[in-house]
Amino acid sequence: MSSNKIVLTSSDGESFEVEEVVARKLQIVGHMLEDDCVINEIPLQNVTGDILSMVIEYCKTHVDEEESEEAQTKLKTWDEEFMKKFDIKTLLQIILAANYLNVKGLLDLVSQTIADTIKDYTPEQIREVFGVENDYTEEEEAEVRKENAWAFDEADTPKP
Amino acid sequence: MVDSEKPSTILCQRLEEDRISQLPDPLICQILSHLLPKEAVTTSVLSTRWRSLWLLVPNLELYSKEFSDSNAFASFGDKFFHFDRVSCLDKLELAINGNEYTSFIISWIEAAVKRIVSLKLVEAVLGDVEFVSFPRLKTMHLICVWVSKDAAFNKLVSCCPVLEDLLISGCANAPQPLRVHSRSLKRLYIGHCYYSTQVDSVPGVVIDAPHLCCLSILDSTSKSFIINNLEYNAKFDVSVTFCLKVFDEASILSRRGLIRSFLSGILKVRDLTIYWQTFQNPPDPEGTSQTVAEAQNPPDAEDPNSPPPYFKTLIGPKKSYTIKSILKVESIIHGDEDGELEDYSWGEDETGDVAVEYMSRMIKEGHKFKKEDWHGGVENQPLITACLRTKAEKLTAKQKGKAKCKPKMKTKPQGEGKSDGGECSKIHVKNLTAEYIFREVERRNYEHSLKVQEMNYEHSLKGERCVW
Repeated sequence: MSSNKIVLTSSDGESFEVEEVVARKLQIVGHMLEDDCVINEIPLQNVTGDILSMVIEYCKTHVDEEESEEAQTKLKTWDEEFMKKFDIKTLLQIILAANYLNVKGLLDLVSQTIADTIKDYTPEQIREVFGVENDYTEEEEAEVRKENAWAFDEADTPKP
Repeated sequence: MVDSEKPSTILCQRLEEDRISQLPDPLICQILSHLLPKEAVTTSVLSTRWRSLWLLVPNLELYSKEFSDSNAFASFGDKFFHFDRVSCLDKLELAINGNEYTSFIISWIEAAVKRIVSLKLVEAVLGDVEFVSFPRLKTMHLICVWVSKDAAFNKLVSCCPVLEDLLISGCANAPQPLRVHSRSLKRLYIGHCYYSTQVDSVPGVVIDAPHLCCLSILDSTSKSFIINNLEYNAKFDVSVTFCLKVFDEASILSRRGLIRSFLSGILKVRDLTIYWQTFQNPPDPEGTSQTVAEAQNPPDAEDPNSPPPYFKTLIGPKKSYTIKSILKVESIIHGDEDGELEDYSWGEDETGDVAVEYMSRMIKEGHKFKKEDWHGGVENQPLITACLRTKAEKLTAKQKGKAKCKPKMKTKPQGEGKSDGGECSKIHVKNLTAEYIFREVERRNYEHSLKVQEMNYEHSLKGERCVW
């Protein structure tokens, strides 16, 4: 229906002009447009320009969600390549942005990507890679392990 | 194993700041819901922040065979489904191998019932369990679930006041019929497994769901199907054999009453897809024609005043003689054997249809139509014959309208229309007056437009798309 353009402005003042159909993929924007359809510029307070540009890239690619198998496979391949571009720090920023902007597809994609990473590590390695500080005392940690002993039987050796 | 073998390259640098723990709980749980239960549990040891987060995941897929032993499975489940705290779960998928877990899973499901919107049970033995209510459950998939109590499936369904999607596949409910009564149900898929050990004791399927818009039945073990109150505009895929192993004349006739009552229940469907297994006749051509002839005038015919099921367009198997003998069908489209479908609805160019043109030419030529000209013709209607050719010619325009109401074959096989011509000794043919023709045409046109109006109205009320 529309080649109507919407300007999205990030918290650090960067502006992106996108087509309305793309902007509507951000559900937060979609809801604003429904409430008041004359908005042309939308300030997005909780997301920086560099992250917003990536979210927009995702939305542009997913703007036509075709149902054909071929199109789906193509999108899936694109998603995988897209995720490979980011380090863990960026992924964590994107998941926050996807949550704030309410882009469900991207939220699923990023959480899956982060989960796939966690899967590959032992708890010790997760702590190291994600910078999680272990605030358990030795006794507490032993207790937690004991509580769910079945899950830790082989967990100390990384999975192949 | 060492770090260098890690598949991931994006995480080489260590984060100085613990950003992942700073995520809000729902986002961490979102991430954890993509992990196997065991992997999620191991995150509890990361830090105090993570200790209980695994218990709050919104989706859980729990497969007993992924656990090393039943103690581990029970330990996980009992913690996860703790009575005080299970309210975060929206979607639950439980696959249980073996009977030993029955007592666990019932208490687990009960702990989850209040909030859960989607439930999938695989290979679960529920025995004679009864649940109180699933107030929010919209989707339920039951795969190879065994219940022993009478009408247990129906009771389970009636516990779900807002259930919209139901899949029952390979389940055993012996020896009771499978009954599904629901006022909220929109999509229903029933598939019985061929290898079910309960084959002989599954007597039938009874469905009463007035808001159903999508129904699919794949069944080779049930003899009878009763479908009540099916919605206008419903989409219906059927692949059933009425428990026939052999499709000879005697077998088909023996099921005639059952087939008829089944079809009577689905009069209102918009799209009917019958897959090739259904109603298939024997390959022997001589035997086939015999079956058709007999079936058209069956010795055990029911009350001739009750109209047989009528379908405007039917997508059917190549050898649909049985259907034609039981139904009134305006046109039969012979689908491929794998049931591949196209849009067979009436097109803009229907007056250009070869069959319609053939019909109007026949009318103009004064052809004396016989019942045999159409298999499945309207048997209890008097024949309209072109006894008064001059009158008939004047009526050509309206007759075209009438021709549409007559049964026809869009993809007309060669010679089909005449195959049985001339042998109508069993059928009473009477000549009619022009006034009668007039009235009859008007009446049929009126009936037809009423039906169209009604369908349009229903369609505007329910704009549902059927997606499985």
